[in-house]
Amino acid sequence: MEVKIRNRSRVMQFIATLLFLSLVWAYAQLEWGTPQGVSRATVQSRGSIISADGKVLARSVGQKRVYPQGRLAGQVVGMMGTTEGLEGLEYAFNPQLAAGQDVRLTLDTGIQAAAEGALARAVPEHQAEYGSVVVLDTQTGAVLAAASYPPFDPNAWRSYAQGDRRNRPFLDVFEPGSTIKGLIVAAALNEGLTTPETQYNTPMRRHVGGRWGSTINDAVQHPATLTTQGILRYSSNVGMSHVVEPFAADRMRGYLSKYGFGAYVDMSAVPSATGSLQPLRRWDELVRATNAFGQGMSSTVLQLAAAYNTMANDGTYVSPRLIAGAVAGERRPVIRPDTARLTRSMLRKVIEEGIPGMAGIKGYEIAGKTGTAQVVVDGRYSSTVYDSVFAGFFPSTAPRVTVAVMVHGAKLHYHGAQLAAPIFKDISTEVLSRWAAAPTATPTAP
Amino acid sequence: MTRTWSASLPTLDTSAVTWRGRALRYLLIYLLLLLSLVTARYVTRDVRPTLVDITKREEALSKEREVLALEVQSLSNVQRVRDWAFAHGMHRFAEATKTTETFPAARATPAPAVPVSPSRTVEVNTQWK
Repeated sequence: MEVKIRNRSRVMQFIATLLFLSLVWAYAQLEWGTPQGVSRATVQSRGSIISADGKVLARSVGQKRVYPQGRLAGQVVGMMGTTEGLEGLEYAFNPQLAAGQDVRLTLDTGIQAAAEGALARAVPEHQAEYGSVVVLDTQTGAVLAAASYPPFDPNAWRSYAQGDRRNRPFLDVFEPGSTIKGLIVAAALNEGLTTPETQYNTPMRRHVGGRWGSTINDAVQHPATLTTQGILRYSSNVGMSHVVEPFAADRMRGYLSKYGFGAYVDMSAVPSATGSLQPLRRWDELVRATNAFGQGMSSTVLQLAAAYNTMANDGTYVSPRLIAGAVAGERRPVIRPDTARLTRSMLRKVIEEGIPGMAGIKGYEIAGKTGTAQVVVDGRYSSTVYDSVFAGFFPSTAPRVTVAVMVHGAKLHYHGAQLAAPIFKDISTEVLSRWAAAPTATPTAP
Repeated sequence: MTRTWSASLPTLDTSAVTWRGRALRYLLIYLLLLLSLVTARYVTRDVRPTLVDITKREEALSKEREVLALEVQSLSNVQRVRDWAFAHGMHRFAEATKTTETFPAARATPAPAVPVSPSRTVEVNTQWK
């Protein structure tokens, strides 16, 4: 009996100690409390969006989302509402950002600023509606710049119209016009259907497609006979209709498809448009001819840049990517490396012989092609609304950067050579200056 | 049924004296612990205000750091810097006029006893704008 009582007594002693310790713990809690305020706030912070050169494009300060670079890459970054991303990368990467993860981009803010600056100068000057630019790193397909005009500042997103928030280079589709000629000529060279010196009869207009066909016109006065090089130089639609005559429809459409037209660009979570290619069953003589000069198909500026990048990258298509560290997109051979190099030299001559002042930079090897595409309004090609386009790369012998430019609805000097080409030149000048690239041609002595 | 106790078991001490002694011991232990708690609290009386101050200071510094980082990012905005540079006469390298200059051949000098890298001074005048 006494043993039991002694045991009970020890149990009571133990319980009393526990109770006392709980009293100590409660007292300590009341007295000191745990300083948790700062750590709690840090843990819940939304991730930042950071450019390749370390500039913060979006970050959270307390409960507020701020965009320190203001308008720079505003449409790409998008904006955040009260609780979650509404547009752009803020929307596309909302789960990751909400979980506190940073999103690192391939954008270079210096090149982005150059692209936006070039658009901001040219678009209002030519009384155009909007414009967009994409700059790609040739070998990796990294998007160095994706610029839209009019500008958009996500810090004050409510004061902007819906159209201004649009990431145009990824989402707007348009007919790429004569810029396609460079790609089609490369495909024809690759198939052995033409050479740079092959001559064609090139009147200023030609009927194509038989009874149900249509008349193709050229805009730039040119000789009655042109070589393939000359067709690119004078951007002859008639000449292109001759170049693609021996091209089997499925082969030619296959090349356009391999260039990336008519399909989504393989960029994880980043929204983009596909553009369109007509289904093969509709490919007749007229569709083949019009596609050879960029009508009857559509593309985004991103797709056009990726297609031209194929030539710059020795014939291998590299899927563009905007997110640094993301899984590399698709790579596929499209044309042979020697064909790509030959086409690059032809496109360099297009600038050197055709528009040296508009797109060329003294001492540097620049290659590219202009386009002036009529825009379909109410189901018909308008005679007043145009898309001014340019796609090119540099240095042409060993390209490092590919640029595509599109400006819509210019009222003054809307031709590609007058509007899009100078924008390309402006951006190229900035990039070459940032590289401090030495000119290849020997400068004259003073 | 009746319970019987074995004679070999020790007798149970349930006297008031024993219980009083036991209660007194427990009370003393309690008071001792209480005293130690109060003593510890007294000795560490500065800890809490200091901790609160430091927490507030850390919070304020964190906010200040965020604001300053933001300010640095805003002030070093590439567009802003670029606009300023153009407004102050910056010429881009690719657009600048380039000339060639032949450096005069170095004068023949007697070969030094110890082979050293040839030293040649080139004077460059840099003129902004």
